[in-house]
Amino acid sequence: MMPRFPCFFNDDSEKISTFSMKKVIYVFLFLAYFTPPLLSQVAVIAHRDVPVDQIKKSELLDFFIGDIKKWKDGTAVVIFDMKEKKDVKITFYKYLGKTSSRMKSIWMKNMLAGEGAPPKAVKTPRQMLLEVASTPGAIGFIDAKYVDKSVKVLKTIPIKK
Amino acid sequence: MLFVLCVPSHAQTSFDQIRIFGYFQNSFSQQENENPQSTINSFSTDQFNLFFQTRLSNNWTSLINFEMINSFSGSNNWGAFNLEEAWVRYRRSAKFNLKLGLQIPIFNHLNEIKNKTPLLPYITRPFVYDASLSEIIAIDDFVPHQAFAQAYGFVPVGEFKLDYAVHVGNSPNISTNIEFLATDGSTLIFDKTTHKNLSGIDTTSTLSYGGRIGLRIGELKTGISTTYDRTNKYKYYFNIPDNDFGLLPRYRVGGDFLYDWKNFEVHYEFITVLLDDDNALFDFNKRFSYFTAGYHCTEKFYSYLSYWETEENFKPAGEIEYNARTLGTAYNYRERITFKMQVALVKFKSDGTIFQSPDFRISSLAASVHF
Repeated sequence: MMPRFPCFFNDDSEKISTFSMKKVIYVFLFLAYFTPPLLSQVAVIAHRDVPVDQIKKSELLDFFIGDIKKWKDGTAVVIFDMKEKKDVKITFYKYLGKTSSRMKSIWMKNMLAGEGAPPKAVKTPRQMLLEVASTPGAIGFIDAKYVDKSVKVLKTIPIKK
Repeated sequence: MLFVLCVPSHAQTSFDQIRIFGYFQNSFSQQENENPQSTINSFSTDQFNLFFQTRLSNNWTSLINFEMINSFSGSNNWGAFNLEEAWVRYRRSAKFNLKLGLQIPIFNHLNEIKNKTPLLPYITRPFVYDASLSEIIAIDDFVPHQAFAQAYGFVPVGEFKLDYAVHVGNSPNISTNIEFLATDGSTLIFDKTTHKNLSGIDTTSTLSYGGRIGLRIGELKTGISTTYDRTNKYKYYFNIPDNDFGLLPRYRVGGDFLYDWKNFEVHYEFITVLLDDDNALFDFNKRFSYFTAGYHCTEKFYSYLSYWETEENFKPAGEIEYNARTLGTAYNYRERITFKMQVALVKFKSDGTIFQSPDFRISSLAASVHF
């Protein structure tokens, strides 16, 4: 017995349709080859009440290395890190001109000098959202596709693969 | 000061819990001496530090740091157990911090982290920064070890950050032996009757002052440090009359330079110690420098080459020079554990009879753990 496949074309149009399908595939392959891949982004997110709507790279670095510990309104800055070292984390720290191990070394130095504890590292984007949304003065980073209205986006950084 | 000491009693119970953390480093070293040839093997707990920290309020933090070095054992009289830090800090902003109490003063870069083994790739640190060498090198002459009040911070100027620090503490004339200090002349204010059996206090009317000015931009950090104090140790060493060396002015000048470029790191520091004796017969000046070139082979694996050089004058008794060429690696395993390996060739040169030592090679393995 012949297997029963769904039939999209009737017998009369089969030749023409096969020709059209080939064209579609060629066009698709052409586009796939020459179109840059869809870029995903890292979103720098903060608690909704932080007193800024965007942030400079140098300010972001100052927050994450512990040089600046307060927002302009005096709220303490609480930073969050990602546990797993994936593209989002690598891109974020690369944007700051650091590696994640260099950041850890800076946090450890700060801790042993009594300048502050290392940031809490969260496991999932969902956890990052929840922590940043519920902690006054919080700032973190996340794959932009997970962002919702519970947090404020201060900056986006394209992920280059 | 009394006000400051009162602050913790109110805040401690109502604000933050005490955080306890620390680190230790265990090592195995093999030292091979030349002329005469001999070998020494030893396991050692080089360093163990325990910190207690609490945030007292939004702007106030306190920290206590206990340190044990060289396989500390009270029953065997090994090593040392020290209260390294006990301070409270007021942070107004990044531009102004005030730290009061026993603390390590900001001097050259390495002075801030010299005993923090998880941050260092070295097992044996550049001579004057290694607390475990304090039994054979007068490391207190080279770097200030304690301060009691310090203001510090940084001022951003465009892309630059200008660091500053000023500190004050005791001069090094700390009483550890009542009879020893009681033999001093009129410049000391030590009163044998009222201070009997007290130790750990400065028995002179002098203080130590110092500071650092630095610059940071991107991955470059550099600065100049200095201290001024007056020491009476040399008059006892050499039995020199009071009128020549009551309290010898001592100036330290240090410089540090750190630069990271991609995976490469370069560190350079120097320290010059000038003891202003005003007497051509005597020269107690000292000099130290080190240079390290390192490379992050991977995020976890770091290798380096380093050269250290020290010169100590004890004229008319003599002069000692020693240097070390060292290479090593550090492997950061599971964030909290760092394995280290180091080989150092140490060479001595002495033109007097004050101290003699054969050249030696020391090979070490260590694990540094923080918790």
